[in-house]
Amino acid sequence: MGVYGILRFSGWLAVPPAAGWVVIALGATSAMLGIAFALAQNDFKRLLAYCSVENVGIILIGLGGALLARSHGDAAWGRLVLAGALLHVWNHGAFKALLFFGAGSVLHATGTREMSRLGGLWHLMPWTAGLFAIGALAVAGLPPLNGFVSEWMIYLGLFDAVNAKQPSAWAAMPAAIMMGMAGALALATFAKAGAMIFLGAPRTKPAVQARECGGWMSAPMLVLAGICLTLGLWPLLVWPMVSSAAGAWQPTWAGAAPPVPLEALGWVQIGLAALIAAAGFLLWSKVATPHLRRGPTWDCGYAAPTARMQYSSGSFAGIAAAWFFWILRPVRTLRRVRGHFPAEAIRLERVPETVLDLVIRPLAARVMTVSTAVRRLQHGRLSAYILYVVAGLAALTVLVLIESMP
Amino acid sequence: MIPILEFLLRLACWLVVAPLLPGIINRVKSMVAGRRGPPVLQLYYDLARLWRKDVVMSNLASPMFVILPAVAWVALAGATLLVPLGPAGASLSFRGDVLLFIYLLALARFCTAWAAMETGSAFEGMGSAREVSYAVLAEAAMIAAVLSLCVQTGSMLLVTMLVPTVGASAVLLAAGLFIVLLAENCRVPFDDPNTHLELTMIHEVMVLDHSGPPLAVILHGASVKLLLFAVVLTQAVVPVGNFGSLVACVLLVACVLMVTVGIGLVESLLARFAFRRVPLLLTVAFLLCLFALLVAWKGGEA
Repeated sequence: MGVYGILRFSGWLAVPPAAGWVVIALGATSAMLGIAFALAQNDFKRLLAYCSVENVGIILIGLGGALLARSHGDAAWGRLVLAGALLHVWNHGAFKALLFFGAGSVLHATGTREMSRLGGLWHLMPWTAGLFAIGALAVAGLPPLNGFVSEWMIYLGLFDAVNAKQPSAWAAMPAAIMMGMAGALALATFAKAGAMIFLGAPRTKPAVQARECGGWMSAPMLVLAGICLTLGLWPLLVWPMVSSAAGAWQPTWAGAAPPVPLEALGWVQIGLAALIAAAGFLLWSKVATPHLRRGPTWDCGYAAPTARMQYSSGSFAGIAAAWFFWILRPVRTLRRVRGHFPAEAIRLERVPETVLDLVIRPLAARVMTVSTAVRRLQHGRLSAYILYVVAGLAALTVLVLIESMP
Repeated sequence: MIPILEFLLRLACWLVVAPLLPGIINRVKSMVAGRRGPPVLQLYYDLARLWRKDVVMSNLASPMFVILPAVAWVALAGATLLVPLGPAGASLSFRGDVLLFIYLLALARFCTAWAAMETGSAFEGMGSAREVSYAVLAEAAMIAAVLSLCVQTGSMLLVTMLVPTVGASAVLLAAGLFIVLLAENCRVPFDDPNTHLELTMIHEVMVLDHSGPPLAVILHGASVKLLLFAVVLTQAVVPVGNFGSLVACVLLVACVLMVTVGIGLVESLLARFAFRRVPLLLTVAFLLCLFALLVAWKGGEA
């Protein structure tokens, strides 16, 4: 069901005008909170899952905008946000699949999902590292990859909505700002994920013993990275599909020409990609001479840095996660230095599985308690059941009598 | 032929002028402190010297440690092509280029942070974490500023957006964007480029392990970013595009110079803030830009 269901039903059934406001508010909230949760995770698969919450939030912002536009007389910007949202569904499918494949390879090679136990894997798994980096760039919405194109379209639509100065501008304005913040948080999240898994020194033994997975695991990632790059460099390629989907949702929006200069963007992205490749190659070939010296990380003269001295996943996320402490509910353990010969001091900070532990588990436990209590009524004794029926009938009779009294 | 020549000439102009700005800031700082200070052209000498040097790379770092600074530099140099220069317009202009501009800066940030993490150093981890975290608030302020310009001019093109009307909105925007400029370019009171304590740095600590040509590329990119912000700030507040080319040129140079001297004065008169106060200041910048947006909105209705 999910996004497809919402799209199908909102395109097919009559939708109350308030629905757009609700959907766009839900989308903006889920984009911000989803990425805040993702940033705070230490388990990389959970991080990717929360990041999907963010991306669905972005899609919902687009869809909510489209609903608002439709209820305000088919405004042209609605077509833009809807097209952006549809394209983002597709893009998200490509880069998130790529990232999950990468995560799967890492899990297969090391046997752990905790980023604070990994590190330095690029050396052992260069293909996975490189392809994961492409996925990270795409999911952070950076040019010249595909994530940027769809977010760009949604932004443009929202900006147009603000410009149109209809009441819907009051939804578009905060949505655009929150999308910007969610984008910056996504950048932080994936800088963290990539760095903790693949960069620096290996933190524990499993990370030292990892091996690159076989071609059958890298090839799908290569294909997906290719899709990310192709859609980024030439977004016009999928425009007919997106346009016909938007037309199916709202017939008046079916048009051939894109309302935004997708072709210009495509050329700019191609130019950017070419320049990036050229500059990277030139600088590397200037540096990678026989003179290139390797040494331990300088780090302001640390004599013997160890892998445990590296910045950890929790500390990287610390600053931004602290802004969301009210919902992340981090668990802190602090044992201060005491006495003249202190034994040990500990400061641990861990973000628990907040949604699961604080919302879903207690709720499920409550439901179970109530159900168990109610279940006691059902014991299989016929005489008691007849008593229930008689009691029920008596109650109904009393009700009817009270109603019919003048 | 002529358009290509103009294109290249403009790009060269941006890239050549940029290292002048840190020199001017340092000169202002030394004048306020009563010192002689380094020459204004110091960064040019530094860049030339670094470019000739060899590189020492960490054992842990991948080739990306060298390639990503180049990517960041391309992103910043590409962003210069989008920024209009008064009545002369921009080299590249299409609807929505303003978002490309913001995301090119984000690309540069991602590359610098990633390259810093390559070394596995705790200091560099600290710098990256700070850079990407504070950018969240700076990004919110920037989007609000763009929205305000967008409401004022009803356009999504940088060329037409950067011809604002003079008024209360411009003053608020100037203050907000100036704070964002200080934060994004890691100047006092967010970061102290001259500090000697790695624990308190943002940008400088991210590039601790870089040396030789990659460091030159990073330093040059940082100066280009400073010039970019100074030019955009100027044009977001002063309607340079409405004047003739000669007046506009003089006005632009004067305003950029004023911004640069302003940065120097701020650095001389203020101390770096404690890191826990940085988000507060950035929130103030965001609110200023948001109020500019609301004022622009009301101005449009009246």
